[in-house]
Amino acid sequence: MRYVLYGVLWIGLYFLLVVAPLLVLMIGPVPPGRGFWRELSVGFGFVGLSMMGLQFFLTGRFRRITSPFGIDVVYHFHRQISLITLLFIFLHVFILVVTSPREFSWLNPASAPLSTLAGMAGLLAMILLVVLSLKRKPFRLKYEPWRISHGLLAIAGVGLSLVHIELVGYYVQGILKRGFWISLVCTWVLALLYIRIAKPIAMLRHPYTVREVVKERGNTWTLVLKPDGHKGMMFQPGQFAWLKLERSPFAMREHPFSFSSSAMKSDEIGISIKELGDFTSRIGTVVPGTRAYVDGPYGTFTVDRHRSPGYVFVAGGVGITPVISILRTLADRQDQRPLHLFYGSKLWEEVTFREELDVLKQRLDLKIVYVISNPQEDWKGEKGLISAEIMARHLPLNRLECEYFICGPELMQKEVKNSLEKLGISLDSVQSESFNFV
Amino acid sequence: MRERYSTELAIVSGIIIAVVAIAFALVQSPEIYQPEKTMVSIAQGIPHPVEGMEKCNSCHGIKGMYPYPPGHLGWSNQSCVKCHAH
Repeated sequence: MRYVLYGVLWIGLYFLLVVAPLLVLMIGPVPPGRGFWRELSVGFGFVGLSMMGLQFFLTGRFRRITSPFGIDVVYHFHRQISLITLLFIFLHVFILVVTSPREFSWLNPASAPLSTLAGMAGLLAMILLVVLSLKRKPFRLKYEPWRISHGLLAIAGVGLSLVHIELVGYYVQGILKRGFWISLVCTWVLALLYIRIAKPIAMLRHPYTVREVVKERGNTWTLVLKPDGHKGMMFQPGQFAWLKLERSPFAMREHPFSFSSSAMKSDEIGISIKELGDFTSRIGTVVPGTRAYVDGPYGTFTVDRHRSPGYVFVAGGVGITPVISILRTLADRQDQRPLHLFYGSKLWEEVTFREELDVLKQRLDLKIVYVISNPQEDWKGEKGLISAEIMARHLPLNRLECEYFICGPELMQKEVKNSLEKLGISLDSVQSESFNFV
Repeated sequence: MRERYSTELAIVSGIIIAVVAIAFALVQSPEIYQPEKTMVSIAQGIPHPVEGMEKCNSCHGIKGMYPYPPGHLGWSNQSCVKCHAH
């Protein structure tokens, strides 16, 4: 309930801050209106600028903002609302040009006033920012250059838009209105300074050292990180953090990984990583003693946020990582609630943490159903992909009262959710998390 | 599911914000919903004789010595006296 209340408050505050420019400019002496369409264009322009500035807060990983929703949801909202923001900025220009023929001449850069040039440059920066974000993978843009350009284009878009409204100067005159805009801009700048400077400095004071690199089954490695000069990090089982290896906390290159260790042990943390991409394929070459920085914890994919008489976990491939953290934690807590795990893997030999899961079965009331898609001939267990039929055979009798946690490839998550719906499980009882932040 | 909620929230947010922008434009444009009253209440009377000075745009056009507001752009000389009494 507390998270719901905070969530509602943050959403309300977001709305208020977006429309605040329009409310403030109606206070005190208000310049005369210039016709409905022109004023509508201005309205879209002001809310668009406010929404652009608020994006710094949405992506700033402020724990108070992300904890009611989950950071993956906040990032997803950031992507969706940025398209709407761009639409509003575009409408600001489009309405002016269509309804006032005189404005067409302002589109000529050679004769356009400086205010228009600044505005158009800001719009172009935002268009480029959105296009590069949507098409990062088709354009084969590497993450680091994309991220640097993303930040610079965002600052350019907002900065040029501010210059535009200052040079137009129609609704920003007067001490109150100027004071409001200065305050607003200061909060955006402070957010940027916090994200890019204050937070990395704080991380600099809380470094970690790689104590051990453990090879697991399934091309997976577990990095055991020991806090260096501080007490470590408290996290909830199933949460994740962004990891930077061998670099300064000011570096752009970082990757989100789930904790795999027990949340009851904060003196060292374990992060299990599967060899999948250009960064993770080299994780096995990390040597003990390597400096690491951890930005976390984040995420709502945790049993501590979802109380239930029993849990069902569905994991595919590396999706076992947060689940193993949850199971280890529940074992350390001597939790006796019934637990079910459906674990999909291509090969029996690649089932990560296979041996430890057998040990956990002794410490917990845990039933495990392995589903192997390419089994050996003598495999007697479930075959293929995790389906509604397989789950129906093994789910507990109180399946409608359980909370479900799904972690794995996007397609697998979608299929499992469809299967659970077929079995009559409400999706309100199903938790999942997407690491597709970009 | 959670991503669907955030998409829906973004769309609803966009709609509500657009409605606020439209409301702002309406507040700043009373001629939309009170055209008669607005015309009568805000249109100043003509402080000079109009005989021989029917081409209002000569002095009050956008490039004239006493330009009308930008919102009047394109209005004909004949339309001026419909709101501005003399």
